[in-house]
Amino acid sequence: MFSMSDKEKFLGEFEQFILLSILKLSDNAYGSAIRQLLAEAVKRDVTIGALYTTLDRLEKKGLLSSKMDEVTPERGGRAKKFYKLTAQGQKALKRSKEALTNMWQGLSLSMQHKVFSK
Amino acid sequence: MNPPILIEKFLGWTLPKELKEPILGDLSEEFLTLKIENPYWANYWYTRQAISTGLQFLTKTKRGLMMFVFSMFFFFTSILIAMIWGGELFMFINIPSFAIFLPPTILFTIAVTSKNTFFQAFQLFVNGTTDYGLIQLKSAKHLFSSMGNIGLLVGLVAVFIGVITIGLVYDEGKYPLAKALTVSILTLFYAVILKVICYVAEAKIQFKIINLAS
Repeated sequence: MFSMSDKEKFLGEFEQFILLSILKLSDNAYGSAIRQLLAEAVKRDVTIGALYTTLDRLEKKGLLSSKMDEVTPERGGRAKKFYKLTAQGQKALKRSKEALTNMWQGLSLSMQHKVFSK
Repeated sequence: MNPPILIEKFLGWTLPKELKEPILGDLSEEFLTLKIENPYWANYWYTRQAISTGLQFLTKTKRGLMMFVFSMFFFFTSILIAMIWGGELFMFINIPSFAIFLPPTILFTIAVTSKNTFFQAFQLFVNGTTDYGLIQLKSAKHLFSSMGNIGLLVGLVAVFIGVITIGLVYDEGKYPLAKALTVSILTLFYAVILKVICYVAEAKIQFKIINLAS
């Protein structure tokens, strides 16, 4: 029977959004930029705490790596933390996309499909 | 205009060491951008983000402290209920008893440790014990142990003073026993409460020392 280890489990929706944001932002993927991209692209206004909790979790899973940048004055002398997808992170994202694509095959949400109604 | 200082301090206090700089920096950066358009909105936005994020991390980084505060709250509530049932709450509040036992206890504790250790021990307790080394933890444990024992001994001295006073005035035929007895017993009562608090603090630090060693 097909089984997956913990590391191979599918990503949650928010985790996918974050990983995709990091890919889109490329070399500029840090907390504030990711938060703003999520707000613009998926209209999701997340708190910085929720964002970093997920980033931390993804990093612990080995899907992300991070490095601290140099201190900049416009941030009150505080450094940025930049994130990058690891090979494992890219694999997980690809697997989630494939799974979703497979599930969507042959489906459309047009009115012709049966819907539950009273 | 800078971000609200108290809110920023609260957030800094709750965040784990490794996330302090990026999170405070990100919020500061967005605050400065929002401030140009509307300073009041920027203030509101920062406060909302900081409180929400702070509360989220509070249960993770300050779990031990919150448990301690909760247990102390429970302990003092039980004592207060017992006091109210026992008669009047004000019967148990006596300024001279505090004056007899608290200042000497603090001074003796600083004398047997140091002023730095005294403040560091309380700081360590409030900030959690994760960022401290074995020597600092042991010093803090020693401080709480000393403070509890010294407080108890000072309380006992107050009881002796009370008993001696009772003996003297009894011989002189005045019989105002109640006041001397109350002050001395209340001093011992406060000393025992301090000993309980110090014992709990000491045990909590000992637990961290064991964790650190293993």
